[in-house]
Amino acid sequence: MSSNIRIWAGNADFLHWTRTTVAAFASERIAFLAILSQKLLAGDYSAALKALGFWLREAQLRQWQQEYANDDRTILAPVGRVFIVSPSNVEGLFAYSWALSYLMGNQTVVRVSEQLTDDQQALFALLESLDKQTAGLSEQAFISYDKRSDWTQTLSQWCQLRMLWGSDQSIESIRQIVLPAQAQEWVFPDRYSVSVLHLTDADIPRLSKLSEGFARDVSTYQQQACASPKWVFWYQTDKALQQRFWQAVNVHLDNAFPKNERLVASQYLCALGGKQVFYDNICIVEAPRILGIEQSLIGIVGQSQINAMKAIADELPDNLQSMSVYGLNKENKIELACLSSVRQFSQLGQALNFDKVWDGIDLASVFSKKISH
Amino acid sequence: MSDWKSIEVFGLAKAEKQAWLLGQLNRLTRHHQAHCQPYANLLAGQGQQEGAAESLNAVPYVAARLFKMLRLSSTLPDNVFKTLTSSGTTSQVKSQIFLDRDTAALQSKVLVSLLSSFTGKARRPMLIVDHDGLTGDKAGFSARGAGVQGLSFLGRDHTYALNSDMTPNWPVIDDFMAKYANEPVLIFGFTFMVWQHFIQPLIASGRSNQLPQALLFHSGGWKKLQDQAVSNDTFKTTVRQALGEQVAIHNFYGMVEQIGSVFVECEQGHLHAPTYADVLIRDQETLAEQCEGEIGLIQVLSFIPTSYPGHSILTEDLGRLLGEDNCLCGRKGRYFEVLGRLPKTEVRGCSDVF
Amino acid sequence: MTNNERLVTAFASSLNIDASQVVDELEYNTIPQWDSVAHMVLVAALEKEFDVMLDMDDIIEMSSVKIAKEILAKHDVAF
Repeated sequence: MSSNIRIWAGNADFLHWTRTTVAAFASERIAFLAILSQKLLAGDYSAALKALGFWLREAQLRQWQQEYANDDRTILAPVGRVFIVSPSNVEGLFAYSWALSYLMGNQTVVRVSEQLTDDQQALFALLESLDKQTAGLSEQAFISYDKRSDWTQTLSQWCQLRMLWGSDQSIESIRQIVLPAQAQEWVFPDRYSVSVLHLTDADIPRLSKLSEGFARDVSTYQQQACASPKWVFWYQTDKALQQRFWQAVNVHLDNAFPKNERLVASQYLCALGGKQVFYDNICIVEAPRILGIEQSLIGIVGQSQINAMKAIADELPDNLQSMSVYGLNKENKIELACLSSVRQFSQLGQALNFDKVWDGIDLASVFSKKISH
Repeated sequence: MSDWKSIEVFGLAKAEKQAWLLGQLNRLTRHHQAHCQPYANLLAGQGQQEGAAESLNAVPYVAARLFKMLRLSSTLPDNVFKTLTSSGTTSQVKSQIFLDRDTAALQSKVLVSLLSSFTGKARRPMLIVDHDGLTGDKAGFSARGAGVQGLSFLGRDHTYALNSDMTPNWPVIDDFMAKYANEPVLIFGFTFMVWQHFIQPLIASGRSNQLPQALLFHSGGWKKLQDQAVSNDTFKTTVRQALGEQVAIHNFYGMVEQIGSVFVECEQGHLHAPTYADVLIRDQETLAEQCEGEIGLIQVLSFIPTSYPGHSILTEDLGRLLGEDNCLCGRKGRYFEVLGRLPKTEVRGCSDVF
Repeated sequence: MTNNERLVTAFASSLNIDASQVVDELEYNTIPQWDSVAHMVLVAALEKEFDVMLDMDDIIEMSSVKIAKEILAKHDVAF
């Protein structure tokens, strides 16, 4: 039977939880998350955990509460039992989706990988200590288990909503495990992200700020997050201006990527037909269309030139996630949204900021029922 | 002086060697440019000169990992005679090296010429520290199998020392030892396997001094032995305790991407570049050529690879150049040491728990 | 406490600097203590202190003490 399960925080007795009457945006849950946020912001935690703390700050929670306020036509209620499987490497991710599930009043079991990162350990220690003071996690569990055990099966039977984050391969493998007809499922598979930039001479004073933002988007997680831009489409932008942009980006990327990784990446894209146009702390390779989408390359950004949005849309893959954009108007964005699979737009420097609407899906809505009355 | 056979393996001093090797390498650069589209793209994309390097350090190089990411071949699929794959665990993506008949033959000939300068021309009885059945499958040839087969030309009466479960095949070993106790023999195996599956059991079983005239070639990296805190010196001392005080022991450095031109350790404990090949050390951060004594990435050059663009490869191994033309062993050419692998970059992305 | 005193206190404690350093001219990224991580701590502190919710553009624009006051002024916090 199912053994080797480890519980990192919360309550291990999840198979026996009974239905409770916690409402969406229940005050004790807002209070718990607000304290968590304060502790993360005030304590000696990593930038990634501070970002989580920032995201969960009370002002933000209150704003969401207003946004989803019950009105005289609808009542917002929890889905019930939620099972989240999270990827190991973007450590914070499980916490974001868990926090929304929690906020919406659900009972939640989160599965993380067996090898905890330092950040995960720090976060679980904090959650445990807050739980001791408030019992706020009596219907939440953070666990890990051997993938060969039957826990995924058991929890799939248990839950009313299954949410999978991970590679295409692992999502397909979990999807082999039957989910009862009455349960819903949401998946967040491998994604690819690009940037669309439109610069004019008028933007020159802003180059420094824009480039800093772009540099942050590519350097966080060594460019390996789904939302890190890997290709830039220059929309009607002068080539000299492009070079100025890359030089400005370059300044912010001292030692960001190992040299050998940049070499491998550049040689790979060139072998596929690209032309190297910039090579320093980051490498820029130009080609008429996206190359190398199947490899995890580090320290490289491809670029293409386009004159019309229609031309970009033809080049974009189906698993497109984020477009970090600058200089596009609303019509441009609407055109791109309709012509491509894009799931979110962001400003430069914001590509990796988690939002409750992720991949084009409003997670707060996913984790709740909207009941009209 | 263009035919490699007319050149002494370790006989050319710097100026002569570079002149010969540079000509060969430029010829290969042009050849691969004409016959391997991704390679031609790579050079063009990086704005590199075509086949006109004026010194060895200007010969364009391919990052070793590219052989794992791309199918790099300069021969037609019909001419592929053997495909070599790197060893390594099953979960890793392996290098693929495409050999046609000519390149495969040249590799074997060069290897024999190179190693026989250590063993002498007479083919010795050969004990292979591995199990039989590595070389059977021609299509999916592993580096281990290729290494065993490449070296087997040097020997006769090939005897496999291990069972398929990696335990010593004592009857066969004892038989070999009894038969050749007073003859020069050749032993070959991968460093870790020699240590773990041959020398250790040999000592544990109380057998000693039974192959006093042996010459041992071993290769394959020190990582696992370093984990056990076994140095090259400890390795040699222990092997000699087990087999005989006069046993000659030569480690060599080589890789599946450049089989044939291996770098053999001399009596002074230095790895030597033969005339047919060379090494350069490049700074990890700038990729500029390093001076003697400085640590950096090892670039290997070889005149052999014709069927795939592997004549100049930047490895992910770290090493240090120790000298050139002046090793006390008398061999000409560069000598160096290998210091391990470039630490793997931790890739943190949206990959997952599974 | 005046609004200005409250603002100075929030800056000083979030950035871990002396209150005397909190002047209009102090800019983001010009002292090591005011980096992107501290910026998040600062925004959360200002929001809490003045009971406001800043939007993303405000947070990005808030690159000096002076601009912070201007942004808060938009939320009816007078200085």
